[in-house]
Amino acid sequence: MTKTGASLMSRICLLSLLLSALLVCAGILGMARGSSEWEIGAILKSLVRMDAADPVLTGIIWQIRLPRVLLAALVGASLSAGGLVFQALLRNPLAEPYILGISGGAAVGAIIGILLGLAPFPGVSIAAFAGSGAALLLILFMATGKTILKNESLLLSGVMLNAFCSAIIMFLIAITQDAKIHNIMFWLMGDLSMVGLKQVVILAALVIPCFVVVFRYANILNLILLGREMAQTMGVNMRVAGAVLLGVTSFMVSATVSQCGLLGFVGLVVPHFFRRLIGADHRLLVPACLLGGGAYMVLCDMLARALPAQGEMPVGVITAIIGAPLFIYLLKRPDKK
Amino acid sequence: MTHAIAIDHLFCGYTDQPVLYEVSFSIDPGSFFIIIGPNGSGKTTLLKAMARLMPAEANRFDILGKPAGDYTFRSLARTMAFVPQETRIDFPLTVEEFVLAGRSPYQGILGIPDAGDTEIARQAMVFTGIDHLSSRKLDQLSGGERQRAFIAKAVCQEPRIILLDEPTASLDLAHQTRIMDLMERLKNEKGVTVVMVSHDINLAAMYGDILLLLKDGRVMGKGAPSEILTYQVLEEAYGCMLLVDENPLGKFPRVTPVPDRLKIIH
Repeated sequence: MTKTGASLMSRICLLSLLLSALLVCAGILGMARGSSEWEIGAILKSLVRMDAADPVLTGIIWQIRLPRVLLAALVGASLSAGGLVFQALLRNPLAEPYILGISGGAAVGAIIGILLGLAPFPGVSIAAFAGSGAALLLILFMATGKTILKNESLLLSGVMLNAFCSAIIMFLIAITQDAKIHNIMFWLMGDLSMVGLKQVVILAALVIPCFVVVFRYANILNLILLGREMAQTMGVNMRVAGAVLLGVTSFMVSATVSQCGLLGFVGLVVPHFFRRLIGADHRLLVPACLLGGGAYMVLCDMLARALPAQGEMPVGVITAIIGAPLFIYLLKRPDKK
Repeated sequence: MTHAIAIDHLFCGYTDQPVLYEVSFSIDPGSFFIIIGPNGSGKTTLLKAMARLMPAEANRFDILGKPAGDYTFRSLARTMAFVPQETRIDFPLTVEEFVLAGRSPYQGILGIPDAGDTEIARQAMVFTGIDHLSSRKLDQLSGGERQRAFIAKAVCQEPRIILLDEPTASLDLAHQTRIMDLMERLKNEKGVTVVMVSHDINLAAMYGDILLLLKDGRVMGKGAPSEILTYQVLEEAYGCMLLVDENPLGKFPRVTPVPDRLKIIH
């Protein structure tokens, strides 16, 4: 069976269409479930024809449910694509978007923001973004310049940076005694509940250009999988490609993390799931992770709201509870492809 | 005649400890050029410097008559292909996908192959005898098949020059000659210049047009196998006792290392 360009293009389109449909369905379902439940028909009506629908419902949909679903989709997409890029770039199947210390930096920033009594938005978000930005600068410093760290040492530095940040986080938690602890815990477990449409629009403006860049580098990621030297002798300027991918992906993950806290396992599970399903070609994997990762997060967030009888739990708990066993199952399953 | 590669006074390595000193040589187009030398003599470093994988300084470093620095990575990839020694690939990839990746220096940003690319990849797989394995996963191949897949990918790049780092290492005898025969066909049928690092002096003697002998980062000699592979030169390079006689298969030298207990004969 030969795979010509036309069939590759049609596979990319078909996959994107299927997963877009899944994402839309997940979004509608996500809007239907919550502290009060509505018919899907009524939701569609208030989305499309606002004037003809129930004004209360329209208000809730546009101010609470829609921003939240959109946020979940963006977050899922960023983290999944981030994990995919890091796994290829570092040539390590266990890499995840936080591996280089972005999460630690963001968490320290966010907790300092919470302790200073800043508002969740924009105060804590900006503090978290500054923290992850500092981590990102450190990573870029380590990965470029005269003494470039090799993959393994880059990974180890990331682990150390995260460990160092955990120590600071523990210290900050230890000296905190009031209700702020609850806010800190929710942030550390990942939480999508505190957003408005404005925040979602800002996040979209930050991460969607990154999605485009990552897709543009999809074939280069395929070549990087073969090894840095192989990629370079096949026409890839590794210095440029490495810096762009590392920078763009870290930025995208930082922006995401600063909005929603630490959502674990998404960046590990989604890329591996699709790699098992459709193979190692990044021209398919990038759209699959963006759309499929978005849908996965929307569904996890729906469960986080639907499962507890009262209130809701942080969605990070759901992604970890589903993610870890699913990941082990994927590894254990014989490779059919 | 433009040389395939011309190098004059090349230095390469780390600032405090250069690996190659004042290396100068040229490679004629369409020749089978083999770099030999003891461990640590800088063979692989020299090959990587030629592939521009290692930063190097030289008075002159031309590839097909053009300074190496004038090539973009993309245009260099259309001129020269590199087959590394061992590459671990942990991700599921079929042989065909892998070989087709050799077309990427000719393709657009997303690397969507056209009918021509697919045909060139098919021919490359036929040439190396792995067309029946096209839908197999790369990590399911034996050592010899894997090496041929890497060579097929390199052939798919349609290079004028192919660089190989010990392609016969860790292969059995049948696969060693198979790889070397393949390189000879590549040279004869497609006029590709083959540049190879080899540990195996006897294979180098049988296949090489010109051998380059390196020791401690310097060129010790360059010439036809019969000029380079004399016991005087080799014993100085390798620092051990060697027997050099004529290979009964033809007029090329044969090198046999002499074990300690047999040295009494001399």
